[in-house]
Amino acid sequence: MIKLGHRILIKQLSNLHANHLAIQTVGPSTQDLVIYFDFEKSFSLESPEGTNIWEKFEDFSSPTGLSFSGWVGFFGYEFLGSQFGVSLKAPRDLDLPPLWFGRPQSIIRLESENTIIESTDEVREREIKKILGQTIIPSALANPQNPPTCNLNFKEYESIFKKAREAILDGETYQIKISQRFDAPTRLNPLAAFGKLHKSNPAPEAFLLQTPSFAIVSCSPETIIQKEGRKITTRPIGGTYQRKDSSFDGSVIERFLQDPKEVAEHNMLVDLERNDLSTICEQGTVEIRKFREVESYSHLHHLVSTITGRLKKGISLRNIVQAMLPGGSITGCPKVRTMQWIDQLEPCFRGPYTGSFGSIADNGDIQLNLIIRAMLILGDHCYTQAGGGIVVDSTTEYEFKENQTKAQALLDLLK
Amino acid sequence: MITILDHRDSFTRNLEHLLAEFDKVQVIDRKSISFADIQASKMLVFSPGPGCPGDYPESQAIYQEMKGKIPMLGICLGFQLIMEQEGSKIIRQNQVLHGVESEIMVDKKSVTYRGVATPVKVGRYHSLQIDSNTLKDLSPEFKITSNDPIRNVPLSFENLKLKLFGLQYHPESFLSKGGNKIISNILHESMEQRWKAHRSS
Repeated sequence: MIKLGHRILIKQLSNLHANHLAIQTVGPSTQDLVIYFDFEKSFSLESPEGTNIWEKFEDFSSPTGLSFSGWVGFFGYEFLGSQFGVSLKAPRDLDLPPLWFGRPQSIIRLESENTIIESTDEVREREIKKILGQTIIPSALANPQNPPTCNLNFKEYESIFKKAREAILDGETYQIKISQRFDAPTRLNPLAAFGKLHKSNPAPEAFLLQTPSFAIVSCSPETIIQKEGRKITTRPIGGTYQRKDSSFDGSVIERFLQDPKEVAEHNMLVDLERNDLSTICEQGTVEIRKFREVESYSHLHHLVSTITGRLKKGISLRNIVQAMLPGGSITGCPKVRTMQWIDQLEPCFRGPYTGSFGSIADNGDIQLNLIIRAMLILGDHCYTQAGGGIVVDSTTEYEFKENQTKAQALLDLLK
Repeated sequence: MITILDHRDSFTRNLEHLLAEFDKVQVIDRKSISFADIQASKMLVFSPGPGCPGDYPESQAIYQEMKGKIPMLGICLGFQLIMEQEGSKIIRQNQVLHGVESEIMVDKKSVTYRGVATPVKVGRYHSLQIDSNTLKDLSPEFKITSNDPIRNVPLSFENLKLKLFGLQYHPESFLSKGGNKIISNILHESMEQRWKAHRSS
């Protein structure tokens, strides 16, 4: 382990020229980051309904001996759907794997005034220190060709919205999340994009996953699974208000907390997450720790609750993922029937969007987020998807605009 | 043992944990439940779920088969399923309620609400309702025990002779403060000796 005694800049990581690189926000401060690289034994799948991958996570034969030993990567939405028992048919119109995980052999921890380098190989540790000290070759953030387009114009969104509303009136679904995908013909530098996003929009679950074929950059605010020992925590976000001017935060937040639509939407999510935890937790241990707190980000205010439980004995990673994912805040309720409706109504597959990124440690601890507020970088294009919950009182114009607002922090990267 | 017949709802496990305060509970999908599963139970609970009762012919058949042989409780969709089988109609509500805490008007003399603290506030998740104009078609043993105070929406029933109960709202929701007592009342009434004697005669 090497401590540098100062915090390096995110752009200095570009000197590593890593094929695969992941950055995860950890701990209470959104400034504490862990960078994972030098991956070994990585795997992905050809099809979201592919073979059983769970035994791979249980191969503890090569502990790294570092402060983190385990797997880092992402599960796509369709893989999680198939694990949950819902087979999704929407066309996979982008070329990237349904999931990817790897075992990092080197990590860098960025703390407020420190940088800690760890690697399984001491020679590599010294090499990393040297590389990080080299002059940075500046790289352009983005090379915008044309403005982004959206896969749904207002009329198309409106037609989907009407069908979703009818489904709600029939009791088919109580709340359904419908998303739009924005496509920009822009080549984006993943590391530079993460650096910019992290500065403008620090978030508790911000991350980067960079591979030779695709990259995901995100300022996700939402933790879906935090597991330490047998304690499991989820922090569902439901309810969103626009934040245009922070000087009005006080009165806007007051209105937000009294808005019956937002309150009902959040209540539903709390019951849904209690349910998912109850699938894997001991009876009587599922508790609402924090209820309906407001968290403010650059463009938005959110309602957040914290729910915890104590896992039953013998619960596996697979049991946890199947119970909790896909997260209720990005499907709607009840999950199974609602996911089938989303699959029919949305024009394309979701891929990493509304999947889950995070770390799965050999000791069983887990930190998994919801992949929202994320930019997928794929060759000469980048894509960001944004959606919102449609409930009976929703209005088309408002929801359409809210999706745009949610995408804005990401679209700002293209400027 | 209490058996929950699940309609793949996202609130079933909350119901399981609530009922587990009183007895062992098993959750079984309505498509894979066996007669032996039901026979091993002291009570059969029809879970909430999406859609309307007509989407679940298996559950409708189980209700008809088991009526009078075992105590049964329907929650939300399960409530509507029993009511529809008994002759009332299901219609869309004027005001759809999902995730709403609502104070309801209860019959304090009923078994279901015996000793339940007032005001009774419950969590509601429903698009559809029982058409109150069709209540007259029910057999008189079915007693409506609560209503929405503004709109004429029946919200629970009990049939003490056949030990059938139904709640349109969600007693397992964190919004339903008296849910535990209501379930306790229903279970207590269902397990009592008089009923056992009636069954064996």
